[in-house]
Amino acid sequence: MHANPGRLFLALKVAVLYYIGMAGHFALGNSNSLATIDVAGAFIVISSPLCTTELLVNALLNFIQTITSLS
Amino acid sequence: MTLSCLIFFAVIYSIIQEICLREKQLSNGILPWHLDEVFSLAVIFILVISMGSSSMVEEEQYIWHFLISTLNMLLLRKTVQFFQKGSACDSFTLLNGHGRICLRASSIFTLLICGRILRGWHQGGVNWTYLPDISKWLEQSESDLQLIQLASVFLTIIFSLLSLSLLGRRTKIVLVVGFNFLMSGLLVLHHIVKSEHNASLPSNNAATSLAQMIYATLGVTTVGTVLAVPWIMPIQLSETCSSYHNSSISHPSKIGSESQYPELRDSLYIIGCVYVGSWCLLQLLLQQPINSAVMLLILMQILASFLFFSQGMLQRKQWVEVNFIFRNQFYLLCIVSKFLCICGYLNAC
Repeated sequence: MHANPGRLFLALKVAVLYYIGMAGHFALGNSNSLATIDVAGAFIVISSPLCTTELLVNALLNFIQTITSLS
Repeated sequence: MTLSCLIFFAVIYSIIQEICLREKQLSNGILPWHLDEVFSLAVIFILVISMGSSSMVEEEQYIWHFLISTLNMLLLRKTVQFFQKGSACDSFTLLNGHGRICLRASSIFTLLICGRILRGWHQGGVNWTYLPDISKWLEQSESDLQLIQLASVFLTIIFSLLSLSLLGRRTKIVLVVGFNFLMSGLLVLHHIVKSEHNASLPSNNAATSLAQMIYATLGVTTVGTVLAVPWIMPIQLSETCSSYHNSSISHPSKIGSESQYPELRDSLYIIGCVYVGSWCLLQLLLQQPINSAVMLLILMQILASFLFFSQGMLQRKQWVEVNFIFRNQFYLLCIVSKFLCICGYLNAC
């Protein structure tokens, strides 16, 4: 092993984290197709009738559920 | 995609260049390149080249699965090589390093096993969706998904609290953060149980307010930790250090040798743990019940990689620090891009 693993493995650590994130994103059932976007989770806090604030919350939750699932 | 890969490559290359410069300054020697490090860089090129084909874009999940599996196998090979080198050394070194090698090997096996299960959970993409997978099998067998969901949340809470306890300091702020996190986890558990009972109702005010409470708790815990810990941690650490010096003067170099900036490292460690744990709990709330086990497996992978790369307290903290900084920068980019999209959408309306 290397004499200074903490510094030398830094790039490898970032790379491994990125790869785990990408693999995890696809493992959740997502793909590059728009058809696989799951919007059900974004409607958890939505009550009818829908107002502008809730629309923004909905957009934020949808964003968290799909795009930021890239761990 | 190409742009993001190029940016990522530039970041990795700049880190490696900086490391090379530091190493040259220290030893004036040539830096040896390991196979796993070369491969982690080559992955970016492989990905960029593969994106030239539309079929590859449709089936990107297979590329990531094979690349991450290859990288894990390379890390396993490296661990075995280290074990062989260690057996050639004296018995004292071997005894000291034996536990570490076992930990590394078990972490890599965890990564490989979790990766394989994740690969079989969903048949994503376009061309192979009809093939059987674990999620379809679970849905067809009508097994109790709520039990899987509850077990996933419960294990997520335990793993997150364990990673927080690895800090080794039982200060008040750590206890407060741990308690807040435990409360958030219990609220998520309560929401899952409640939503199962009220599944027949189209909209339930109690469930909605409970979900809002969870968002508020998670948000306050995460933002509060980010804002408060860097200010409170140095005070508590200085108190601990002074009491330590008063009680035992025989080991004065122990605390100083741990890190140059212990308060900063401890703060980043706590923030990183809370950030990862809150993200997992939020995803467990938002994702479909069938995906709850997937979230747990991803968390296990992150923790296994964290254990693999940790060789001591200093490196372990650095790993979480890297995790936290990388995630923050990535999410910031995502948020900015999404915000621009929303602005564009509103302008178009």
